[in-house]
Amino acid sequence: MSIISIRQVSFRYPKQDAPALSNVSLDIFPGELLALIGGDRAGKTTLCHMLNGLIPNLIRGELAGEIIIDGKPSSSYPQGGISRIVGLSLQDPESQLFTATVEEEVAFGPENLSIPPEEIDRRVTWALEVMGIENLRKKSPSALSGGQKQRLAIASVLSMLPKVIVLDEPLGMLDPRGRRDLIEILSRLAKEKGISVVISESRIDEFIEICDRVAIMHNGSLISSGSPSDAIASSDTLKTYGIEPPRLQILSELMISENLISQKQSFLGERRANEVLKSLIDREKGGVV
Amino acid sequence: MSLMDMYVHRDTPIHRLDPRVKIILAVFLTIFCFFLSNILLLFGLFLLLQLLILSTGVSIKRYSSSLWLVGRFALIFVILWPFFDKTGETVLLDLSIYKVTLESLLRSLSLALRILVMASGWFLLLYSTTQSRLVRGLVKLGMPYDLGLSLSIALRYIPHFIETMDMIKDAQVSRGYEVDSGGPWRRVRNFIPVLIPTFVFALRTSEGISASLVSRGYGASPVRTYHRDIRVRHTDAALITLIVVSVPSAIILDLMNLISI
Repeated sequence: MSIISIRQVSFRYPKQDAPALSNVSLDIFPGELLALIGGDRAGKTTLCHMLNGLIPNLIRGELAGEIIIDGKPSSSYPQGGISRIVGLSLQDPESQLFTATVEEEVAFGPENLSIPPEEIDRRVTWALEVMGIENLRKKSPSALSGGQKQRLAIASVLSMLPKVIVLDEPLGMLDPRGRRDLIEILSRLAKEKGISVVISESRIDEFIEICDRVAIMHNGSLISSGSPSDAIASSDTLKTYGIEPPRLQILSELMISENLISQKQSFLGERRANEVLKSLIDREKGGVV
Repeated sequence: MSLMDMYVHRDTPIHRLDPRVKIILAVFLTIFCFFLSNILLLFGLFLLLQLLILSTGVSIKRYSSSLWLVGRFALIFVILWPFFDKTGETVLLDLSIYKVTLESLLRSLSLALRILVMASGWFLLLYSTTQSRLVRGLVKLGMPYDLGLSLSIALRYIPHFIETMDMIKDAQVSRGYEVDSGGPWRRVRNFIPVLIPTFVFALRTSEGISASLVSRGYGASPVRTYHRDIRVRHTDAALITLIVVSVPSAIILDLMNLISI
């Protein structure tokens, strides 16, 4: 059974002609890692805000359709109430960090949820450890690097122990190593803790392989939703939706067109690419011998 | 510089004080400065506050730049004062419209010291109190939590907006736009292209902050808990008593002319 169910939802911001979302239906299941991908103005951020109840509880506009969060319509929750179930990390971590220390930042959410102080302390320690920033506990958020701020923003969501965490473009401020580390952490959270993770991104190289499902958005509509290999049929299709295809997929397609590998051997991510390329090299070596 | 940046991460006796002690001290000093004119008392108090501020571990360089923000206003008062107050018998300088007497100089110095003492009380509070403890202190003193949080967020972001405005101004100037040229009216008009993007930025940031507050459970529960709550210790209680008793006493003594220079 899904934790979040969105049924034929359309949304238009005030004074806008075009809807930000048109007839979108999507389910989010426990423990899954869902990639929400799309180009500019695809409607990803609007959908993220909807998953967390910011739409319609804080951001007003013309809304049609049904948003069910943990069995109840999102409009029936009090302001801030959905944060117990769905945590959202916004695109710009700067606007999320307003306290004097990292510890206070992570404690802010649980304090709002009326959690006892001892439990808050345990959650703060856990969230900081999971995000690998326990050593920054007493630092000022303003003294952190962009990547550390991003991790802190996610830790401050994690400490509320939501069933779903929604991350709106979380990789933007990270270097390649930081991106890989974060993806690994999120994948662990989904697999080991059963937390559903929704990542909204326009770049998909780093995490396409570990996603359980990929949903493609374009001009406010949900184009497709399925396994990574099904959803991302070809790099040309992705380009038409304003999405930069994974570089390894481009390589895979080139190798298929040059008859170096078969369609069955196509790859999207690094792990699969390593396997295929290794077998190809072994075959070549075998041929030489 | 923002409230978040002003806080000095140290563990000193001043830091450990209950924030209410420091809030009451800052408020009482502000009131005290409206009434007190005794220059010696003000100077003594100013020196004492400087020692307390430096004991928070703030670097002299950082503190002097903060103090200079207020100090320049105090200096302007001292310089302009003789234009408006020419009374006094001991003339130090007489340039017809600009006459400096010892008495008016002392009065202007007293005014400057009042400003500096007032500011020092708040500097002491902000250097040694984290934002959450400040809000907690204000709330425990009766301020609604919403207002306390709004205040602390404003203190955090207003300087950020000023920095952004400077950045926008630099960007406009680097593209050949003349912000600081012409007369006063023209300069005001020149500033409009700097102000508009700053307002847009401020509006976007405020939208982000409200979204962030709601998405982190703000308003989800009628009762809020605190990770590290504040408690009045014996030292705090003694200091609150001392401030509440000594500051009004000094004002009364000064008003009754019982303290003389």
